[in-house]
Amino acid sequence: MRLCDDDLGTPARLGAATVRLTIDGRTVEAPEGTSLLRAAAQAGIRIPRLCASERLEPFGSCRLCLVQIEGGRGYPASCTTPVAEGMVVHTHTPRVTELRRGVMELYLSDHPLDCLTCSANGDCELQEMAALVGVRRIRYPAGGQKHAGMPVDGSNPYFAFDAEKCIVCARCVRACDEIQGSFALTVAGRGFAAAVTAGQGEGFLGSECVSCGACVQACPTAALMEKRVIEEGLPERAVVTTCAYCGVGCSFGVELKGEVPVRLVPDGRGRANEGHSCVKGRFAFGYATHPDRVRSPLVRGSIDEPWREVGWDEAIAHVATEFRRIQARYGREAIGAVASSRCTNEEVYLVQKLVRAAFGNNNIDNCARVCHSPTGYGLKRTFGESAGTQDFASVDHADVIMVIGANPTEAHPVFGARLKRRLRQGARLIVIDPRTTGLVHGPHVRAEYHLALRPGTNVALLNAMAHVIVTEGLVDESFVAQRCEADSFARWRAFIADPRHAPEAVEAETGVAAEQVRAAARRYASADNAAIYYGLGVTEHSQGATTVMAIANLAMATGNIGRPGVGVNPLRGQNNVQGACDMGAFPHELPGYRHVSDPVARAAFEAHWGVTISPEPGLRLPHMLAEAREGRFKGIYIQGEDLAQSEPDLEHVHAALEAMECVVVQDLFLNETARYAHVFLPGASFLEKDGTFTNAERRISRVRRAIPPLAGLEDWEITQRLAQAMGHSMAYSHPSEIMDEIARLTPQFSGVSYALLERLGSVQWPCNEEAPHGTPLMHRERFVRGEGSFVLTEYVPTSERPDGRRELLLTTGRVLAQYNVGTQTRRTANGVWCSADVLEIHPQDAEARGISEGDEVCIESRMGQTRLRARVSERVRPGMVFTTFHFPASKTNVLVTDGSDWATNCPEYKVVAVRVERVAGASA
Amino acid sequence: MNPAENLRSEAVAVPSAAYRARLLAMLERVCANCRAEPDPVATVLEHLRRFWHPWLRQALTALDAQERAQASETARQVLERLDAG
Ligand code: SF4
Ligand code: SF4
Ligand code: SF4
Ligand code: FES
Repeated sequence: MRLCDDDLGTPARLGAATVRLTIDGRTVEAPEGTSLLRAAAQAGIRIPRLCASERLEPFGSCRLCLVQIEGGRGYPASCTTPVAEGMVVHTHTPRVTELRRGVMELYLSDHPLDCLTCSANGDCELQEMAALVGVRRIRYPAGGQKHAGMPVDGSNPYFAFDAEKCIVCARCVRACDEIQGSFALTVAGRGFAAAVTAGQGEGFLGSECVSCGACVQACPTAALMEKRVIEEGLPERAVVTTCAYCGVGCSFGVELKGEVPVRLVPDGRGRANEGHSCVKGRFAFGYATHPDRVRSPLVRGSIDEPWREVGWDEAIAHVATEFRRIQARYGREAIGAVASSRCTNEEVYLVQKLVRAAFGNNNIDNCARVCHSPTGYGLKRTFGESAGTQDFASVDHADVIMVIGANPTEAHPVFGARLKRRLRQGARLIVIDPRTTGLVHGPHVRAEYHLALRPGTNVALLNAMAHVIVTEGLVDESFVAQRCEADSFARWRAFIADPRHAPEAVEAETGVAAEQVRAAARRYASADNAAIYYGLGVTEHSQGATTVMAIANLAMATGNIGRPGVGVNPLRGQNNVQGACDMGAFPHELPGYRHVSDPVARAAFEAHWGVTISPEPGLRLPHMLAEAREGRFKGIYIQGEDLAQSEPDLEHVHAALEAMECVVVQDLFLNETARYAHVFLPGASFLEKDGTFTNAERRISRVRRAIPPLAGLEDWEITQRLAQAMGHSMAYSHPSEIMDEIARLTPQFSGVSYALLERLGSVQWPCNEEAPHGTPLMHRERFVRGEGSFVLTEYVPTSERPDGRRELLLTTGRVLAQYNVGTQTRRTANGVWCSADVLEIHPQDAEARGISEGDEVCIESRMGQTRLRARVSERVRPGMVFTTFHFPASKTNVLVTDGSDWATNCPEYKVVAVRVERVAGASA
Repeated sequence: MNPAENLRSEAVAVPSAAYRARLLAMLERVCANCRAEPDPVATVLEHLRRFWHPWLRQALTALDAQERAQASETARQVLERLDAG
């Protein structure tokens, strides 16, 4: 058994009625539809099983779980037999035992009996079941083994498939189909010759496998096994924590041997992932102990000098002295900080507190500035709260799912898998994306409508959909009347009904046929439950905030708010970007999204911290950089963000960092930004700290320390020491005390404590007196702001348009195996799936430029140029090119312009006019 | 010291022409996106007050006549209201 496993054999059933039966003489109750196997397990009665697992639909192939039912015929499989009222079941009669032994003998007759040297010794269900069944001999002759001598498939960098040890239970195949939805595995052949095959026999790496690990998790033997376990042996202890990659926030058991993490196993009790994982969280954790990790603080006088290793005291004192010197000379506003949305809530809270209490200004920002700041703005204005409305489980109730500017199968894979499962169950899909993502045409998944709009025209398209809804009588009038502002709705209705918003009127602008827009709008508006999921393809535009508000308008107008299966759901990028925003790492907001000009909110913090807080908004990150070039902003403390690679208009960013007198970088590695730093403070990875992360569904989950910090301090301790050195007293002895302070000062968090998280596992904010167990669905009876507010969403075309020189539009995104600027994933084996950024270009555009697959091409925008290899693909529409930004050598963000969202200054990463040319003499 | 006063006393440098142009372009985008509002000038001013650091608002007031001549009607009215404090 996995150290974190707790499998009851078949999925839970939520039948309305409770059934009462007798198992082995005990009265047992279970919901209607529950299998006998599960009902027995829940009552503490263990029935042997091999092909069943709680996370898979019952299959009934191994016959090990058979039982005897009084009055029934034969010996049915308990995994496929549902409970029935009054049923009397015997699980361990002599005949049942004999039959099970016979089954087990057959399995063992085609299985190596080298248990003592097997890597799964002690972690093998076959071994365990053989012991449970009590097999003492195998009556079948030797030599009948069909799987002996089959080669091991070690093509996947993280796990191996040893067919010799496979018992063909098909758990892996079903896990791949049912949980992940990749359909990469099949059982080929029949009877004893049956064998598991990846793809068409090309091995795991060459198949459709996305290395999610679900099959490894499901396998009851050593047939599918993590290579680290094969090499290092089974782990000894486990610590449950939360993934530090994307905003899904999967829960994992970190399994260790001593202080060495051996494997991460997805936690079946984790409510964000329910036991599933993706290649990053499951396998790509090697960066945490990579030799590149910096283990002691570094200081230098200027950025041309070599680094000097120093102790913590000296480094902290140096930073404090420099920051004080700068403030004395240039004024209090001359320094600021960027908090990391990869760090914990407690750590982010301390950074904003450091800025407000010790720096004495509001110059604090976080990476949401460049991703989801428009979400915060847009949802606050319309609904009254800067967060998504649903939990992930809500998608299981959606009838129509509209995915806008998001690619969840690559960027939010575990949620993407759940969404695909719902689609396979019959939900309809509308995709609004300029690119043909995996959701548009995937295995057993197909979008009913793919509105492949021209990049930058989101608002025009969403307004057109709203126009159809308003003019074709599809508004949910009773919802609007009961839940929304009458005057803002009346204004919006008149605005959107104007013929200039009709699909036909904007067809040339968006590039989407009017009839398609009309049909998609009707589909969305007429569903019982329609849900919207969106990503950075919505926010990273010159009208990012307007697009978010257009989405909110659509949801309100159609009554798709306040119950399961509906809602407006931003898919957050980084693991704790929701938390970083919640914690007040914004220049205009205190923790809990209260504006700094709000005297009541300010007074609460002032009283607790013993300082005066500025009522004026601080500098946003792009303005800190601009002011640095103007000579007014001189020092910055950057916690876990690689600005010199992730920001747009990189030449400007580099010049701004060079212009500062004290740049302090706190990170795991000497990243690109560290080139411009005067002080480097080595941070701690998620395995080395206690705290909490908040995922895209507002779920607060514990992060637990599995190994000590490699450089000696957790990130919150570094910030605390800096605050102390700058004269502000902070004296927390554990992050739980920081959370207690957050709860005391932040209404949405007032019920949150580590004790509650231990009890519930995780909790979705708001968690307070009104909702002591959290709030899975928001805005149920009323909106947080009272009545929902409709905002007029005027379409303002971006100034970034193709012209005679730059005829193509570049848009950027992510791939599954890499993460953001690649700081973590580039230091793992994930490079086998993606080792370089490439430029996707449509065949027509490629042909017109003489570009073939693999050619080196030069991409030039008005900001700069770079070179990439071409991938000729119909996934992009003509006139558009696409790339990722995972590798520093690609310098993708050199191309991105200084354009940004009008409301939040979120950069316009998704629209850059470019010229693409083949580099002469550099073909593949 | 009153934090607001402190902000004013620190902001002494004259913003560069390039920066002023960039801020004016930013202001124009805010104006364009608020043009459907019932009172666009008031909406834009409120937006600047809530989200722009005082240095940025002060830099706008440093725009010269020639620069202001290129501004849209809404932006010009916003600048006048900013000048008036
Ligand atoms: S690889 Fe494992 S899970 Fe898959 S069929 Fe073989 S034994 Fe079962
Ligand atoms: S790792 Fe995931 S995608 Fe690959 S075969 Fe296993 S279940 Fe399927
Ligand atoms: S889906 Fe996101 S949170 Fe879950 S394992 Fe993958 S990267 Fe981690
Ligand atoms: S566990 Fe029931 S048939 Fe395999």
